[in-house]
Amino acid sequence: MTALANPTDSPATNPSTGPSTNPSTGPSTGTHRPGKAAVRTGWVLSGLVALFLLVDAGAKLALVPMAVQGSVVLGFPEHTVFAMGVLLLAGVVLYLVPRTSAFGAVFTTAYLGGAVCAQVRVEAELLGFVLFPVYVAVLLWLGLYLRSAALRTLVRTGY
Amino acid sequence: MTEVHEPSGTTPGQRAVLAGWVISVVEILFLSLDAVTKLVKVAPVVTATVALGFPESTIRAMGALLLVGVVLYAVPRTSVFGAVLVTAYLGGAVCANVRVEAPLMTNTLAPVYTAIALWVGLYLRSAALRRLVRDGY
Repeated sequence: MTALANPTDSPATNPSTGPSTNPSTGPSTGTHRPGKAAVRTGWVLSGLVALFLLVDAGAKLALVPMAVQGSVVLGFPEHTVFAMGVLLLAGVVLYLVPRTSAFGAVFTTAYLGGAVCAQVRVEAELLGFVLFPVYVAVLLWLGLYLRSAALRTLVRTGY
Repeated sequence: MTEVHEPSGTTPGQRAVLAGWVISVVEILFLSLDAVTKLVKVAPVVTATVALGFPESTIRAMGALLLVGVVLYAVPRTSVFGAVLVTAYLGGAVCANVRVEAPLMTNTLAPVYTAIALWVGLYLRSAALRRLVRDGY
C-alpha cells in the first residue's frame, strides 16, 4: 500500500491534452486510487487467475502424465515441459507480489502468447481453444488493474 | 516541459527521450518488416513459418496481429498496450522455437532480446511507464 502514500501516484493529468502532456506534479487527489471494493475484487480475480495458472505450472513441474501428454500432443518435446512450468511459476509469483505485479503480468502475457501460438499451429478451434489464453490474459490484467493504483495511473495518463 | 521538476524524477530527459525513440523506431521498423512480409506472404517468410510447423493459412493473420501491436506501440497514448500485445506475439515466437528445439541463445531467445529492446525503448521515452516501474503498485 506504499503507493497510497506516494504523492506522485495520482497526477491530475488531463488525458485529452494529448501525449505531449507532462505528468502533473499536483497534490495527491487520489483520483486513481482504487476503492476498497475494487481492491477486493481485484484480489479475488487475481487469486483465481493465479490459482488456475499455478495448477498448470505445478502439473508441468511435477510432470503429471496428463499435462505432459497435453504438451506432447501440441508438438512440444517432453523435456521442455519442466522448463515451461518453471517459467510460468516465475511469472505467477512475480504477479502475486505487489511490487513486481506489473512485470509478472507482462511475463505471464508472453507465456500466454506462447499458448495461443501452440493452438494456432495445430489449428485448434478459435473461440474455445486458440482464444482461451487471451481470456486468461484479460482477467490477469483486469485483476491487476482493479488492485493497483500505479497501473490505473498508467492507463489513465497513458504516456 | 522537461524543465518542470518531478519530485520522483520520472520525467525522462531530452537525451533519454531521443534514445528511447531511436530504439523504438529500430524496433518498429524491424517488426513492421516481419509483419508486412507475412501480410503479403513473401516466399522465404512463408517457407520459414511453414518450417516452424504453422499452416500457411495462418500467416496473414499473424502479420495482421503483429502490425496492430506495432502501430499501437508507435502511438504514444497506446504505447504500453502495444508493448503488451507485441510481448504476447514474441512469446509465441519463443514458443515456436522451443517446439522445434532451435538453438537457445541465437534462436529461441531472439524474441526475448527483441522484447527487452521494445520495453527499454518505451521506458526511456515514457514518463508513465517510468512512474509505474518506480512506484510499482
